[in-house]
Amino acid sequence: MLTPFAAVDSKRQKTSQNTLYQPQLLALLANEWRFYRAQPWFWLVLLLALAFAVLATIGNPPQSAQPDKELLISHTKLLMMLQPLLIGALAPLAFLRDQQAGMAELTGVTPVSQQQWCFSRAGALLLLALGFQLLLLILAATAVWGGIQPAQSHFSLGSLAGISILLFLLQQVPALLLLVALQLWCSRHIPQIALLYLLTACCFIAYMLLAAATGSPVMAQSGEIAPWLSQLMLYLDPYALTPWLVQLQNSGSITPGATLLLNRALIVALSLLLCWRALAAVPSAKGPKLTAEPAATLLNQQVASHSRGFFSRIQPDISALQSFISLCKLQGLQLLHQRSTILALLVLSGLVFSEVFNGLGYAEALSQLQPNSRDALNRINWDLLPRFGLVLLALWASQLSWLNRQLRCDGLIAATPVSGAMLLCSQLVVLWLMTLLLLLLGFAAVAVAELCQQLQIQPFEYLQQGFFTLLPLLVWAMLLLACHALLRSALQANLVVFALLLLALSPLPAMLELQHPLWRIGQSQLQMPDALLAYQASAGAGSFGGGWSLGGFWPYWLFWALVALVFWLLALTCYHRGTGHSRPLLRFGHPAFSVAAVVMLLALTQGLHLHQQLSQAGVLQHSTERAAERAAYERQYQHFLQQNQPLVSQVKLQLELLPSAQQARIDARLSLKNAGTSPISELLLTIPGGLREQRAIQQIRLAGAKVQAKPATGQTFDEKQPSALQLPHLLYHFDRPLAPGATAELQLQLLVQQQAISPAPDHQLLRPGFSYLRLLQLLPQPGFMPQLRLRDERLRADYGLAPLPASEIQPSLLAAQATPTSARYHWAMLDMTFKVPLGYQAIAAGTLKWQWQQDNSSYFHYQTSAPVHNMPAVLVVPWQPQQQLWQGIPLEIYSPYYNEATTLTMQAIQQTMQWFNSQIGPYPGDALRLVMMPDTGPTGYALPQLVLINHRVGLRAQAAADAGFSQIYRRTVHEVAHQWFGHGVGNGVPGDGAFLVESLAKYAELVLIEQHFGQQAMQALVDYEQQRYQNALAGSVAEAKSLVDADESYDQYSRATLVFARLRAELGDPLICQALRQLWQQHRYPAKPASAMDFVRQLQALSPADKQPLIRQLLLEAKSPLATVKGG
Amino acid sequence: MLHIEQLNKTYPDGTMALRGLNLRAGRGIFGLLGPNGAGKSSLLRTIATLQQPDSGQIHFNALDVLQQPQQLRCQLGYLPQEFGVYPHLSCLVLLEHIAVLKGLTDKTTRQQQITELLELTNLTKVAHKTVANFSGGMRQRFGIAQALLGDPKLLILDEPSAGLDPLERQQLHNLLAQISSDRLVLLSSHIVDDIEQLCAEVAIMQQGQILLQGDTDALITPLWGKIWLYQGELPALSPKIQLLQQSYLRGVPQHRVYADLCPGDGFSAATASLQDRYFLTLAVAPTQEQL
Repeated sequence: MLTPFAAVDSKRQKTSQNTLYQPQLLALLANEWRFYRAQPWFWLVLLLALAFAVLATIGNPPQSAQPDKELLISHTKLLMMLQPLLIGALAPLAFLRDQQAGMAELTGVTPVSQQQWCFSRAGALLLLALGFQLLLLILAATAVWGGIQPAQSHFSLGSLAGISILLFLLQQVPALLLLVALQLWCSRHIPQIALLYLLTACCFIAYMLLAAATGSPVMAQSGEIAPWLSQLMLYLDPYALTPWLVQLQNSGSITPGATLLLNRALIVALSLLLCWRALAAVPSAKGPKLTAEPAATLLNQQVASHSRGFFSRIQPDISALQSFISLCKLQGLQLLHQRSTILALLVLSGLVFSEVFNGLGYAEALSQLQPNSRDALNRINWDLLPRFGLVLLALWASQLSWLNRQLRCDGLIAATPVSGAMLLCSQLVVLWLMTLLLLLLGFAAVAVAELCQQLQIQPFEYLQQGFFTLLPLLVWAMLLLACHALLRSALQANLVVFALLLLALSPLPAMLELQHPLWRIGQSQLQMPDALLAYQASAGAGSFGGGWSLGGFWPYWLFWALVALVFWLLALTCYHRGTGHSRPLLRFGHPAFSVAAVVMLLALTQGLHLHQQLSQAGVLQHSTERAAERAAYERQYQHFLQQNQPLVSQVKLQLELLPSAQQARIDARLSLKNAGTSPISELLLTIPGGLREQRAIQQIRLAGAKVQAKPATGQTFDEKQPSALQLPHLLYHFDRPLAPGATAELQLQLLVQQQAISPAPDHQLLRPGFSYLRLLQLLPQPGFMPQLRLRDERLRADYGLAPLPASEIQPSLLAAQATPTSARYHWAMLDMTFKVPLGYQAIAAGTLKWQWQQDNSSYFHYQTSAPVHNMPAVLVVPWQPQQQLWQGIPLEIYSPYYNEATTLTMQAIQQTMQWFNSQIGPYPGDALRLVMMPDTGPTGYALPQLVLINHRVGLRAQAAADAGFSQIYRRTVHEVAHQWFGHGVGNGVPGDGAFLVESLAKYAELVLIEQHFGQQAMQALVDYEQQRYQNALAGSVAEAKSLVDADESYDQYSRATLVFARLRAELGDPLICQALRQLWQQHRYPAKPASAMDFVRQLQALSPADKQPLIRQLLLEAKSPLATVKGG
Repeated sequence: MLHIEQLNKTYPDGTMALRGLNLRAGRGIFGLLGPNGAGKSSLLRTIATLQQPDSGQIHFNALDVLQQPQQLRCQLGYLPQEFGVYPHLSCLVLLEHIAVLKGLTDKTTRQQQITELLELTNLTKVAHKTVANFSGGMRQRFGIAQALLGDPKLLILDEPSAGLDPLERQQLHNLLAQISSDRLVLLSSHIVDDIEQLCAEVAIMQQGQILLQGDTDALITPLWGKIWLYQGELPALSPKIQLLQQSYLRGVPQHRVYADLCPGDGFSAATASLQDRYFLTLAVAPTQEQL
């Protein structure tokens, strides 16, 4: 039996002295450790963070030519991803645990001073986080060490350790200090756990946005939007990445310089300021009155509301509705009264307004967009708003679900006669209303930004975009609440929600190589509407073929809605009524359970349907499977490189395209000519991956040849069922060897069916508003395709392939003396007939020989008068062209409308053709057609006799007020120049071409802009490229290569501009043009193809002796003297 | 030991919790009585330095509590009316945690005190169990143990017997009686019997003011011979007679009234108690409107 409070023993009397105890800081810190080590949440957070770090670093160590920069960037990435979340997860434990656990009064009366409290709590958090971050640093360093190339023997383990120490002291410590100080300051001013989580989310997102807006290398596809922001980040980047990269670029040294140290000093000063303000703050939660009061008020309100509900049971006609409304009202008001909610909504509105107002007119650097409501909404409605909204929804769901327990009135509410279903449904209604409010506020901020920019608001666009954003969030609300209702512990429920959000929002599925779209919880394949296509590219619609069920939105939404409904129905039967004590057992006989089982069956059916559709679209192939296929291709067929194989000499196509059905039927006849000197008895027909994955081949037949069985599998080929082909490529054996000069005809029929259920592959878009097929990826190619070999050395090693010799992939080596003998042009005559619905224009290379209408269809017959680079393509648009003749050559622009931009584009086409005609050689084609394309990726693309320009930068943009040159003009010149540099010379030598294609086109830009807009405009272009080059270089860890060998795009474009600006200044245009002219004359089809080294040799041969070192330096050496380039 | 003068506290919603409150308390157990909302907890929180008053003064021995709250905390033990505990921590670990916060940084002293207090509160056997899972009574005993850590000179106990069974309650009384010899124990309770049993001195509060303060015996003595008991349905009373309490004894109504003389037939003389004083004080106190 217990005998509590037994008599006080004598010892106690002895200890009753006049001793005043004073706590000591070290003891308090040790005390903190004793507290943390008993908290499962602490260990869970550490474990999750560590697991993430391991996944991010160890999985695939990067091969780096600059280990110091690689370590800096990878370490920053880890910090950026983990540090705010780590501190955010632990800060409530450190700073708000007294309030959370109801121990504020017990600890509040202890003689721990405010300073001691702050130092011990913040200090312990700081030390623990630092300890953990050391692990991150070691992980990052280990990964970098693993990726160091053997050639870099100068980089020792010691230097890596030195850099690591620098990073620890200068990057980790100040950044951590700032984060901890921020959380401390916030918790002392407004002690709400939700607010700390919100602060964490803001820190996490804000740095990513800043990094993206300043073109930081830690963010993929980022670009500098505002130079002033970059300047600001130089001093206030919490991770000091910006000043460090600038310093690395300028001096090549990672030793901290003045700017870096100033940055660190500012961050530390800011942290100390926050700590000081935190110390000065009187924590408002210390008096229990302030926290107890709302609880009491709420309790009273809830008791009142439920007592009304109870008594009204006597009058059942109104009871349920009254209780329901009362519950909704109470919970809604509670959420709205939370400071975190108000702050979050304010922050969201501010962020949305800022993003739209500042970025609305941005088309690209130096170019101003003429925007509308769709552009305004697109800036936030596909990233910021749904992501932020989802995080907020998760927070609200947690608050709603555990509100009563937090206020210790859960038992009271659970004991009321209100059904669990009603309690849950009231929460759902509140959460849905909050979602609506969130969306309305976000859209209101967009509308205000539009009005400030004096734009006309398009209400229908708002409704449409709001609809597509709201629906998934409503489903999420149901799913999140169901998680909280089914799990009895708030911790468990929040962990499950966190895992769901991780799968939905983070790059985790990609990192874990979970490529199936259904791993993206709650997400669809809907993409932002394009100005030309609206939602055609992804939504699917009843207005055109395929319907809703094959789009990228409704099938996914339906699946997730059914899944959420299943969990919701289960939650209705097993809800713990907010107490978490226990929950009813799942009763199989319960009607809700039966309904849940039926809905689950429906969800499974829908999921299976989706999987089948995706599989049919060929998008489920894993990247490792693709790599394995390519490795097998190389191993199995590489010997065909040495064997004589025929070339395609003529392509005859009959193509029926039905844009509304998203379907194309292709009947192709390829003439395969033996251009060699020996007969061919065996032919390898390489089947492009896209063609195979889409199972598009209906029939394939090579006259006079049979398909050989595969020795490896013994699989036989059935010509009548080629779509069942599992093996990647076909090996034919000619009945009689194909004699030199002889031709064999390959016939094939293809059916390309494309739905919006998955994103369209590159260069293949079949939509009512715009269709484009590049047939290179749909037509089989004879012989072995060297470009299909794996290039990555590590991947090659993984598949047991030897590294590719430099003499095959490095232009300066492969053509060091002369173009390799294996080089040959793949050019063919094109003869193409297209059948499209009335009102559509089919556009292709060649002369439009005939055009007629028959059976409600339009027919277009194009034919090239001479062989062209074998890259047939077709575009089908519902627009009438703007046409002009230039020296007898038809020039056509296809655009939905025509404006100043299209006029400038036509002018650029003519002036470019004029310059090339006079300086290099006549236009190598029958016509030139330029088509405005949707904003689906590239800004410009050139095909033989065809040019595609993204409407966002080519039609709807104009030069910014401070722009020194027009990007529209520059881009048109560049793409038109590819008719000479790219589709004239620059093809035919495997492993070579980037310099001849892209870099020479940049030269054309310089010349044309100077010729028609003056020297100042040309200098503006040089300055622009110099800035781009420096930014790209700052974030690059690639090995520096000569311009001729460069494979980084910033080298091929920006550096090339700077190099040619320098060459023009030193050598002059006449000399360069003469070299180019000779290159053109000596290497144009059907002569031997040109390599980059051929141009270098031409230039060197024409240049005076004193310029030879400079040419060599600029074109053939890794380090080019480009510090200050002045053109002209 | 404790001297409070003109203490005022008004909450942001306008509630006047303390109105010019004056109080003096010496060594021993001092009882604080008052109905709900009288301001007892507000007063105790203010003395415990958990909240600042709007005006007034508090001195403990020679210490100005409002100026030097830290000094008071070094000699304070506090058990609030309601309190929570950190999750996942055992009783021993949590006591250690609070001991360190209270400045018991010397490990030997700390462990010695904790062992003693665990014994004292009969928690030794459950010292390694998680406090969050304790029953109400066990948690209350833990609360008392933590309050006694650091050998406080001022012990503030707000409803300490809440949740205790009769035996535990009695033993708490024993403990308090014994430890109060060299310190001040401020005891707030709704249970007038507890106060009467334990406290030599008592104060009755209402609407933020001390209505009555004094030696417990001295407060009861004037009522001797003036308390009358009536069993059954009470007849109409003269305005001079003050009804103090209505209760039941095995289902039969009991009425205690205050009158200088026997009010009539059926009334019998009853022994005066602190409860009678308490009800009488509240009955004659001015209402809020009158204040």
